[in-house]
Amino acid sequence: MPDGNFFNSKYKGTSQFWQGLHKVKHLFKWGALYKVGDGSLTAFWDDVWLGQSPLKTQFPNLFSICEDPTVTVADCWDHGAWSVNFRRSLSSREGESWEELLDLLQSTDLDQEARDDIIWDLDCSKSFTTKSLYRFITPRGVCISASQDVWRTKLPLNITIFFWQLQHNKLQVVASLKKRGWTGEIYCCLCGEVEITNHVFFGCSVARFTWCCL
Amino acid sequence: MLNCKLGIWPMRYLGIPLSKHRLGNMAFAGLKKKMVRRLDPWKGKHLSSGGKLVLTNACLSSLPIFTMGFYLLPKGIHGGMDSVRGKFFWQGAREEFKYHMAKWETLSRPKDHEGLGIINTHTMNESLLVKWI
Repeated sequence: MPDGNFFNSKYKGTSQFWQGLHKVKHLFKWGALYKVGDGSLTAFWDDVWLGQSPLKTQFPNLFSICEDPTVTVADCWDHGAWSVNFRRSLSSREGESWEELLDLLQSTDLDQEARDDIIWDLDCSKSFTTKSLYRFITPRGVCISASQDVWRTKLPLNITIFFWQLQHNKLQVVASLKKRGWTGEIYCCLCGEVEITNHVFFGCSVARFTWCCL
Repeated sequence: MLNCKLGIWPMRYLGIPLSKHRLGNMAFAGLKKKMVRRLDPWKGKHLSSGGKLVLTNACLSSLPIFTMGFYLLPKGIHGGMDSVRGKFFWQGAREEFKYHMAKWETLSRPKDHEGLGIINTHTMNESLLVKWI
């Protein structure tokens, strides 16, 4: 797992492989949880080491006036006391945030012997898996439980896919084909109404007759 | 003396393309060709949509995984592979055009998010590379 120097290494003039790693490094931050030892590898503001989010999002007003945004945790630890340099003196509002931050920091102590450790938070085994990250960055939106029901049935896969198409209105009915530039009659060839998915299965008189026969 | 062959750039070593310069679309075009070659003997017209889904996911999607573990592939290559897989899923190996009834982004979403669970190669490429960090 990571060598802390990677995040400070340069991008230009390196190999394609290394540049590829630099392009995806922002994804690593989604799951990495730092367990601080001596604090020399953990970035004070950027990495998640205290609480569930990086300190720069927990205390944005303090981060905006800090002197060095890339400072490590070890740099801020001054023999038993915490000190962070700011570009100017703090206003009363920022002073309150600083007190709050100090309260949080109080609970952590640096251990000069131990190295910083990184835990992967997205997988229950706590070590990195490609699958956990893939699953984390793929879904955009909420999990829809109704869409899972189709896949739980014990039907042959091609019928399941047919149901999936039916559920999401992706069947080749005339109304959908028209949108894709198909030339032909838009009316149902059995009863002469406009052919949409609902009509094919429930609206058409022939379909209703079939349902009655079952 | 050592019975080694002298290579010339760009070359392939252990299946990974290597070059002095930046590898572009040309260097990775083999991945798409490999997919197309794999399709030929399958005779997609005798397959059901379920069979095509399984073959797309299990076979076609996993062809580029090894190379994706080393390089962040150009967007054009991902697009090319998507079009091969999409074409196979909707029309099989037939030449005649079939309508693609759903967007590829919809198909490549996981099953519990209204998709068919086909692997999204770009996302997979990124997750595979993070492994190195």
